[in-house]
Amino acid sequence: MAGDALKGHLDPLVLAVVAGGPMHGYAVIEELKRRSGGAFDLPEGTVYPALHRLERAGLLASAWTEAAGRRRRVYRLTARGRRRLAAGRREWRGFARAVEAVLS
Amino acid sequence: MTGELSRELGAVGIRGRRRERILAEIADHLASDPDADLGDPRSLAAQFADELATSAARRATGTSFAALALVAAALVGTQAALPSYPDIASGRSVALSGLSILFIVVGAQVAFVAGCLGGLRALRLRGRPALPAAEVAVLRRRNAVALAAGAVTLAGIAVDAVNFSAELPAWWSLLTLATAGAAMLPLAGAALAHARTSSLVVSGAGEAGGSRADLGPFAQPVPIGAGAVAAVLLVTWQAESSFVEGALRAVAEGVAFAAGYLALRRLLALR
Repeated sequence: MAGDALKGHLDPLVLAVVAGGPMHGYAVIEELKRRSGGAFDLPEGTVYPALHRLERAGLLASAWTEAAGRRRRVYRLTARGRRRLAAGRREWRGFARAVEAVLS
Repeated sequence: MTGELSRELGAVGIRGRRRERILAEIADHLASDPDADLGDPRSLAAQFADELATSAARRATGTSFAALALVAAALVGTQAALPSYPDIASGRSVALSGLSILFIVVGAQVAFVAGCLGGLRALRLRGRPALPAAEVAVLRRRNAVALAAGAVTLAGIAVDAVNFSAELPAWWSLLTLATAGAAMLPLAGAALAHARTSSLVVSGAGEAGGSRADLGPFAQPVPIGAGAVAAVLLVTWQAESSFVEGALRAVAEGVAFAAGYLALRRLLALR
């Protein structure tokens, strides 16, 4: 799926990935690719504006750690992020059911 | 990549710790995968700037609204504390009396309108992570006008205190000057925040809506102006027990409203 089609869906996808445990930007992109079976194909840099945006919204929190002698920013889901993710999952399932009902 | 991204981030106004953080994250990403496709540095920098500028403009509008609420409280409080209303001619100078009236009456109304319109737009567009450059520009302009008008209002309050210091009790003048000074602090803070975030370059395409987008069917300047004139007439008539005084002030309000609308309609996107 090209980057344009992912627009509008990237935020909940990032939240779902980070829900699995604290991770840095590169790990988020790799996990996104892995879980989607390679279907999500977007410029990897675009995950960083999304991470920063979600942190500004209070859905993620981040801190510097050190890895292999360099600084690494690690993100984790906040309680508010968890609630938003749960709401996003409900909305998506409802939407998917409705689309499936129309298409089939 | 990081060198080019650093230049592009600087070009869109992202500097200091925020730029360092972005570059450190990108460098870490490239260290994990040197062949990673991070996209075009200019587009990436533009995306950061658009989103940062959008959230900063919305936040600045909220901060300004809070600071202007304090200005309004200062105005209402100092006027309510007046032991008696002095005659305009009894101040140190009629010119100063006229100036303070102009500053307070016009400043307060402009601050109210610009601040409310800015707040309405920020609220209406709150779900969007990146607004078009034209919309961010409207938010910034409304914010700037509201803050400037708030400062003018406080200046009017201070001029009042000085002008009538011989006529009114010393405690009122001191209280008024202290209140105006105190209310200026959060206003200055909001102005600083506004100035800092206004340096971000926004490139998102798209048009900005006018006042109809914010107010819907209520975006009618003539009925609103007529309402303001009627309100001034009725309040003054009641307070001064004089229809003539009320009518004179209502005419002044009508002229000021029309002049303000014509002068500010482009700046505040009132079409």
